[in-house]
Amino acid sequence: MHPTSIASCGAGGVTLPRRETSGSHDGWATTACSTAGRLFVGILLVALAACGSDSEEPSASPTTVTTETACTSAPTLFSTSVWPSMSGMCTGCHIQGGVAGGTPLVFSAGTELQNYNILRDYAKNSSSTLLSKTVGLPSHAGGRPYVDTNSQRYKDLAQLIPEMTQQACTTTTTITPPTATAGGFWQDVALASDATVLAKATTLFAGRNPSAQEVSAVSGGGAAALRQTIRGTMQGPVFERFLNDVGDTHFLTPGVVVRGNNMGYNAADWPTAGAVLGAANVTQVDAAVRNRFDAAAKREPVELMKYIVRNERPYTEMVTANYTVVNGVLAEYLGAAVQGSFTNKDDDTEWRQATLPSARLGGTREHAGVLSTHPWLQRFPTTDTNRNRHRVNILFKQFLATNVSALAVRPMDDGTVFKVPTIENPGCAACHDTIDPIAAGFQNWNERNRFLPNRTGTVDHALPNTYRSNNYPKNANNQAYYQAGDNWFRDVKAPGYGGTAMPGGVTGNPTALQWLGQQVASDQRFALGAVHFWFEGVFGRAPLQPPYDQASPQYTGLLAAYNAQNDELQAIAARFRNDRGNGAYNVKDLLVELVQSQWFRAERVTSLSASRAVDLKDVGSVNMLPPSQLNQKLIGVVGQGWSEFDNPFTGWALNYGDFDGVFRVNRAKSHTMMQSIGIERLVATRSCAFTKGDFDKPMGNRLLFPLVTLADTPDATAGKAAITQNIRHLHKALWKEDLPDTDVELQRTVKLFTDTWADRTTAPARPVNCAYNNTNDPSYTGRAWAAVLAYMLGDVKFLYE
Amino acid sequence: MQRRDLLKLAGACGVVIPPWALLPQASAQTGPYTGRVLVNIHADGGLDQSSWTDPREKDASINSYAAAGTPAGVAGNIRYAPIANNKAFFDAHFRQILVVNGVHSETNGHDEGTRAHATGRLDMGYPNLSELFAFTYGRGMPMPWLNSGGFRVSAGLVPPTPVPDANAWRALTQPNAASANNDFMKQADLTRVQMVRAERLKALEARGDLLPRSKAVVQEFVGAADSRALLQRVTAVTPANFDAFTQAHIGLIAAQAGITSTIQLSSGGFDAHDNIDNSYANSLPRLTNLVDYLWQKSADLGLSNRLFVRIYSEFGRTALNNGNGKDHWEVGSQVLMEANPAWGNRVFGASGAKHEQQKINLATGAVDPAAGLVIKPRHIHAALRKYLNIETTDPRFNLKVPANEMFDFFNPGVSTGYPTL
Repeated sequence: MHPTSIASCGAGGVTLPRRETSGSHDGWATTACSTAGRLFVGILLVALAACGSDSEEPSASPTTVTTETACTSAPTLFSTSVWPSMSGMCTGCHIQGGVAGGTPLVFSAGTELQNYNILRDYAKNSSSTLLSKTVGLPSHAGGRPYVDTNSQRYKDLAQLIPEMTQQACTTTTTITPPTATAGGFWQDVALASDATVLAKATTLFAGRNPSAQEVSAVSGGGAAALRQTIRGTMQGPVFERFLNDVGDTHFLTPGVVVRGNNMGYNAADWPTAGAVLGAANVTQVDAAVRNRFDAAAKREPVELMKYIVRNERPYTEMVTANYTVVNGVLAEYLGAAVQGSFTNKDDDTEWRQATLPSARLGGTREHAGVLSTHPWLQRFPTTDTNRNRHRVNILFKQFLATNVSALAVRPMDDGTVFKVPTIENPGCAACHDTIDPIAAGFQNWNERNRFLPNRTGTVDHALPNTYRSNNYPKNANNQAYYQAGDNWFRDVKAPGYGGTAMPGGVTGNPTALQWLGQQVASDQRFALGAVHFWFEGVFGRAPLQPPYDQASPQYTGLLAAYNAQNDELQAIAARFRNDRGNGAYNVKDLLVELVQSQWFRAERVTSLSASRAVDLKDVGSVNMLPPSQLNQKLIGVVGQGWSEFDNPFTGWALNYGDFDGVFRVNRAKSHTMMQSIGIERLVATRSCAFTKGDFDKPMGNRLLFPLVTLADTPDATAGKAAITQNIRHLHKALWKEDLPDTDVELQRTVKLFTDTWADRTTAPARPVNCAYNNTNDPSYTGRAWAAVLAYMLGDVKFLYE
Repeated sequence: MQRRDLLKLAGACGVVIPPWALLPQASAQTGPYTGRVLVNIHADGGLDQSSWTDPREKDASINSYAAAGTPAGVAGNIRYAPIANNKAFFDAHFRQILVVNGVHSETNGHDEGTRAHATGRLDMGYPNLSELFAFTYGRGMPMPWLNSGGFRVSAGLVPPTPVPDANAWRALTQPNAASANNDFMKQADLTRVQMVRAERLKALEARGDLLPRSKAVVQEFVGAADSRALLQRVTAVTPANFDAFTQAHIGLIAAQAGITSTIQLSSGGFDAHDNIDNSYANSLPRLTNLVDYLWQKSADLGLSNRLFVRIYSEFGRTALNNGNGKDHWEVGSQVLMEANPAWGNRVFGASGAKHEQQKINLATGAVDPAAGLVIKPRHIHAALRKYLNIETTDPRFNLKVPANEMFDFFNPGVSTGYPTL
């Protein structure tokens, strides 16, 4: 990746920085970016000049420039005093992925010298801010790490700043742009062809192999055709299933409590739903209707996400939509105001845009995309004392690619007694000053997921009784924190987002969550958050985290990998922000980007040293398909699924996928013995039926055996040839590899067939229930083909994409 | 860099270190597991401490047995409520029991209490003791953490494996079995498939052009196939019929076969807001019979010396209410058991006359309102992590129990007894 993408031309602003390695991969990597995006001005200008609207093509000829560049040495004062104190106090927040990762000062996990240059660059433009922030002035979310201006640490920094800013560091560089395959992180990695990318994407999004027309369109059409063809696969039930899986992974909707336990829908808020919620003195509906209601209620955020994706609406609506979606049964019992009319209100798969009433209070309740849905609030709960901080943590993870909770492991000094530690103790305030103001965005939703459930006087609010109680501790003036009319706590930081105050402050704002959603959508990190969100759906794992142990022998390699991936994801995020013909923040475009990425395309490596093995450890899609997607692939590629995988959350599917969204919330990511046994069960129970099902079709309609008949046996030349050709077809259809007849792997499969066939007269140890027997398969070829299927379906090349 | 230096640096920087870098390194499972087996039993609903190991024999407002003038039972140094099967249970096992009374759950909520006692912290995100133990000792086994109840949300170390029912258990060991007599396919054909697959995996492993991730997946397939050998032992030790405590039985069989390190069970019926005597007449014997079964059966299977059993609930209960039931009360009890422990036949911690919280002196175990601390789940977990050798320096899972709050529960010379009985 070269610096045009890092500079985020399309975003018009500074992206999160890349971390810098101590060595150079090529002429570009070490000059890529800085904390504030301004460190290497000269290089950046060159980069910007090369940056088209969304092009990554480098300029054609070498350029010689004199640039201000990184210093090659740091003052002694920095090394002996300033950095030792900063690395302990500042880098917990001011680091990529940290809470202060979006500020202009973001340190690197790299060397001390690299961090000196970061600090120097910041000080050159903001020396007074740098100094004052260390003592909490004018405001600093991280508190007062240097306590006051009398501290030695403060004095050291004050002395260092002029020394840093006056240091001159320039160099003259001749820059040779890279070619598409030259050098750098990807130098020895072979990328998959467009045809292979199409095949993988078609399996992922459509659960089948590409049609002849799709293959033809891509083979002659170049990148635009590939993009358009992949986009064309994003429709229909398999794509819906893919979206369901992504939504379930993040929102854990199967575990939503719809009723009871002080967490479900409350009949007092939903008088129209009394008949499904067990309200007193209301005749209850039958179990079937109640079950439909429950199932629909759980799915609201996933269906809203699907609605946004399917209708190509901007992904920002995930947190800003002033609407939700409902199906017929939800609309009826929640009293939703539905846009348009249902084609069939009894079709639970038909979801329409709607708003939900606040029946108890009148009017409409606030909507903020998925954030205001009952399932999201319930699955990411809060308590009287947690005060929505957990929800903020999840919000940052799901939508801003930021792990706020990492700050909670900072070393803390509890040695001093504070009235309100979350405000007064710097160790606590470092996190809470960031989290707590944002948590106020959820102020209208209490720990039971109810909207403004309490009324004091004429004010509706969601403050817990404990806080309003006379027994609640008093402030320093021995006065109650709570004051009539409040809808937020006074013993935490004032409501806001970053430096922006939240309208209404502590007295409340009935659309606070809407406001918060808009802030999140406007956050520079939102686009990258979306990329991370969907990366997990496509790759089956989260993006890489930066390494921390600089002394580790793997550090350089892990850092290179992180930087390479982050560069690519940042570039995708930058393009995601822009309208590329289908509107800005278009998820289908984003998915196309992900499957066209180098990280996805990476297929082989020409050679692999120990250090390169670390660099490339995560490269490639190699994604273990969850049971639902594996079942869709079976249906599309083999012709039949496995009923045990119809419900992905129970039985063998649960054992295999290890995810039910209730108690098992992390999908299986590796092939252990449990997966091995599950697949053995699958191929043992289904291989005969799969084989017979396909042979029973007319030859031209077969997916698996279009080139062979049951009469073709390996003891005849023609039969052997047909068998070999069909096995070649199977390698292509099931394993996506087009091999010559002489290939060792192809021959291995042929030998399996012939050996199984040759052993046909040996009686089984126990009676078998195979769909083929000596009557309908007298030559045993059906059963030999079943063995081949068992072999190929249980292989890594079928189970992983 | 030394490990301690890494941790120091990590702590200073406030960073998260991946757990694999910090937890005791689990050795690769090349053979059946033969180490200690942790059995966690969640008494579901909020087990009344006064009906269990912290009896009150004189206050009629607390217990009906006190109202009837029945004194607390005595087994060694342990006192117990004289109801249900408690006498038989404690008489049989008191030597291997450490009672921890006066444990303050910091909550009256079922979910929160379940989480706090399972993980040691009220906060979310900490690993269940079962999970931490399984991650340390059982990683790589087919079923490192067998689970049939209680808190089972994974912190991301190892997932809980639901205890399979009898049929599913057999299917795991014989995936080609369509029934007791029939197979789906000719087994010889499938055996050949496995052999050819093994050859292919070997060839793939040897290829020089595989990306590391692809190679790692191939190696997972190889490892999974290799560990199938462990299941042969399962077949060998699986009986024709399972006992009445089927889930416990399957857990013990899995331990006997060396494919699990951790069994988590649940025994319910303790949330008795009304008529507690009636409820506990069923639920308490069910619990004690389960624990008794574990020890009896494990002895039969030659496992009893490997078992460590912990019985806990989400909290304790109040005095009797108007319905002769008991409501939620933060202070409760835990029971720890092992075969022939040096620390058995002891009681550590205490609650007040009405089961109020009490401060306990860390050094002496005596009630000490001035210098003592109230025992909380995190204190027990910190001691258990140390005792079971599953301490972690992963900052995410730091229980935040400083050295000056470490109770010495397992010191045979320190006891509290029953100062307020």
